[in-house]
Amino acid sequence: MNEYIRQVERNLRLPRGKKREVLRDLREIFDSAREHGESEADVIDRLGPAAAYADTVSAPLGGKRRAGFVLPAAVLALAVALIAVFLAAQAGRPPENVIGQADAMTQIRVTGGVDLAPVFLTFGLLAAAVAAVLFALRIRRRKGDRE
Amino acid sequence: MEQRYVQQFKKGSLEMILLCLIGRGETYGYAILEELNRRSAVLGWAKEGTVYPILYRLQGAGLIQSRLAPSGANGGSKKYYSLTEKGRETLEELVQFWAAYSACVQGFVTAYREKEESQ
Repeated sequence: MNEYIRQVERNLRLPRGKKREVLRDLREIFDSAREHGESEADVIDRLGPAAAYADTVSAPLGGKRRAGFVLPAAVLALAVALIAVFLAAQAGRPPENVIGQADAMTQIRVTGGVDLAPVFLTFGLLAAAVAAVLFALRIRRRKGDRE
Repeated sequence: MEQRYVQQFKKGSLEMILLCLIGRGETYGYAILEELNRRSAVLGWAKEGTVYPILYRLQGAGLIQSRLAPSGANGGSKKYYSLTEKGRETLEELVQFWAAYSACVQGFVTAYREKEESQ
């Protein structure tokens, strides 16, 4: 029972006050059932998986849904795009004294008067790092749910 | 029977059923479940996972209120629910609508039955 309540607690996305309320109610559910001769297994069976119970009670209390993988995936895509631009710029860098190469990167270099490629690389690597952290956080949370 | 349609009926009326039940007098979680389960033949078995979200929603809407009272020997407590003034007014409106609504639905059913029998 305590383990089940702990699992629900881990999955609740609610302000502290509401969380306390849900957990108190859950304790009452187990206590009442025991008074009526039901076992903890009966109650857990009826409540279903802890994460699902946490989700169903969170919704009417205005809780947020659990964070998904959309944000980290978007940040990762941004990182890939930025690094790709950097690599393209490196590859497309014209040799000295060559006329032409009027692609986007050349324009950026001309208008800016400075080489922007390192900026793309820096932000690209930064975005990759942020994506990695976001993925790690979410994966750790999922693992926690399954314990 | 098409489980999906039955599910929809139940979903639509459970909030009013709970308001009626709580409106009869102060009551708590397990007692609500037991009361619902006395009609499990029609309603199906009630579960905390269905009832508590509705209780939270009704309380959030200000239709019911609760108070905690100590219970049992292990320092536990029970939460007793009752209707608020707003809840009583809302339930009154719902009950009136329900009467008109069920009569209306029954009208369709009766007309269908009569047509069937005349053939």
